[in-house]
Amino acid sequence: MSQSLLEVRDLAVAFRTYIGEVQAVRGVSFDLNKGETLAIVGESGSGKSVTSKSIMRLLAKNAKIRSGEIRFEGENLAAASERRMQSIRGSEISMIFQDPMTSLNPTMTVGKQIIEVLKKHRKLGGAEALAKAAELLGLVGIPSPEKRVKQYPHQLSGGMRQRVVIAMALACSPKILIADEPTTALDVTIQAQILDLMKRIQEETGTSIILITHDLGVVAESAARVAVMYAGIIVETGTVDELFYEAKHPYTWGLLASMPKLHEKTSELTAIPGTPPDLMFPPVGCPFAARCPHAMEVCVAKMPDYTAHSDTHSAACWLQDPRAQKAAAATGASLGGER
Amino acid sequence: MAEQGKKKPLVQVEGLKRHFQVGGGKTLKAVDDVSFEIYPGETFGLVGESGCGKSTLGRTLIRLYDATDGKVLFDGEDVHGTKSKTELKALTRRIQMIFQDPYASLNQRMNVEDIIAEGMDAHGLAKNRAERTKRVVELLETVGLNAEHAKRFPHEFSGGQRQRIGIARALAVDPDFIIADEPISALDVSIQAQVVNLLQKLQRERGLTYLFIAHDLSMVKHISDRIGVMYLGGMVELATSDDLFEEPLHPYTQALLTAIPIPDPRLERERKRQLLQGDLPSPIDPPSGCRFRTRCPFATEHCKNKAPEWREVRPNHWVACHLYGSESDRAAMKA
Repeated sequence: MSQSLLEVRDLAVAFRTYIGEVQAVRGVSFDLNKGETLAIVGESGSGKSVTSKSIMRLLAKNAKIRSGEIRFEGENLAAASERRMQSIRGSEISMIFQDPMTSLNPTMTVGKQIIEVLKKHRKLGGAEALAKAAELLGLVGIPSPEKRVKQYPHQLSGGMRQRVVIAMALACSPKILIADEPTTALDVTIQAQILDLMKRIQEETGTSIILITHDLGVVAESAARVAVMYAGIIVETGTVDELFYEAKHPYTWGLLASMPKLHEKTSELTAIPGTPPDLMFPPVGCPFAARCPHAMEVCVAKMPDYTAHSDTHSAACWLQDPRAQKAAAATGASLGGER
Repeated sequence: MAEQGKKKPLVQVEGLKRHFQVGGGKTLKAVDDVSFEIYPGETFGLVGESGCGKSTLGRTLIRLYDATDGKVLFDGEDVHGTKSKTELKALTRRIQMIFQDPYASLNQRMNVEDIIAEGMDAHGLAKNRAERTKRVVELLETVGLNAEHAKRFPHEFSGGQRQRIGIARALAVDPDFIIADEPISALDVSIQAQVVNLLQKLQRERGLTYLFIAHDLSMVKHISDRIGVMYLGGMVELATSDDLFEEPLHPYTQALLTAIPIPDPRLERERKRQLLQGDLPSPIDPPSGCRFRTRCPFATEHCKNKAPEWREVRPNHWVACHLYGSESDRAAMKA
């Protein structure tokens, strides 16, 4: 086992709203190892983005970390001062967001925006910083970087802008790069370029990546390990192979089955009926019970513990309890595996 | 689709163009000389990246945009021809549209019953109040909602439910042809499958014909009988869904297919990816000759000088590329 760089333990985050409190993240624990890519998948509202923003301490004003620890190289970021966080953000841990247009300042040249980062964390200035900015743009595959540093975001295409955002995030060689849906706003051919770039950068710099996405295709292509989130909880975690070929949680089965397969003809997709629960009033038992075809009485009454299936693979489901009757995904057994 | 040859097409598109004046005397050729046919009861998938003109094409078919040139025949009738209000109304009742954003496409101030019945009212399809309500309830049940939803407002529904309301609205006037413009792109994976299954069920029950516009190729493959691929305003390839995925001919289609990440890690590890270089050129000033040549790994001087013809190179498989062109074009490619 490689050494873990980041340890999240029992993280809970709630949002105050005028009609009540939304429990967006309800006890999330995971590790991030050096040099690996961990994907966090889930649907909108599952808490994946809130989890990543908690690590950066970039939560909205009405949000509060209720409990839990976020240990980065031994230091608990959940309790760190804002001043300390400012020295970590952009330098030790960087983040890239879905929409590259809104993460760039439209009134500044892209070079100046990269220099800002270098100035703050590296105390670089003048010609040296400009040269470094151009070098970074070259690293992310932008042609004629010396010319591009002087351009504004609107002069670049969507794919180019995302490359600039990645260059900014990499400016101080961070140990962790958090990518929140980095390719969702891009077209598939551009998405392929960006995923390829992220992979190459990881090989060259050894940065650990947390990839937040809803696209299982992107996960299969880019990640080593996966955590599946549902209603503020990690319901299953494992290596990509364990998750795609030996999934244990019915929600993971459902997710995999609801994707059309490119290489086989199916007449009907297997949909997951219903919708996720309202996290203003989270269910006491398993949050997936209401939509789960295998749900038992105990599922509604009590939240299951994690059952370990290997060193890397565990799932929170009563079906895995030794007392439960054996169930397997009806369509799940051959998920993804066979063509 | 085997008997396709015998069937009369429901929609015939011939040399359709839709250009926009963008100021500075420049023209944006959003759709430029596109021809294809859609047969009754089939699902025609239209794919391409943002800005390729697929949505503009969909909207021009239904006369939400006027055609700059070319023709659209719906059941033999010229959609863009001169028409009285009554004639146009009779035509548009038969063609309906479902939109991408279930949040923006429903009027927030109308309740669900009024949203669904708006088309029925416009076309005078319900004799009285009671019949109107009865039809709305039937439609709600058809799309998997129920009577108690009728008096609610759009903000009370989730994205998937809203899309169901949009589908019920389209069905209200009993159309023959539905244009679905990215109907599932804004929905979560598990909800996407619900909506796609609903669309397919309705097609089976009512014999509907769909134009399904999307950028998610795996979903398009699942739902479509035939697929057209667009690039920068033009159609580059058209084939049955199986042929297109098993044997894509156009280099752009090939690149597009290899770019889709497959939710299967073992397959992903083995796969060789053909990465396209660069970005989409601007449709205001598209490349000369073949529009794709600036990103095409096989491009030659010939592609710059001459635009490829739109040819049926195999039965029901059309492509616009010199690699599959006439003998002289193929010879010029080798030169």
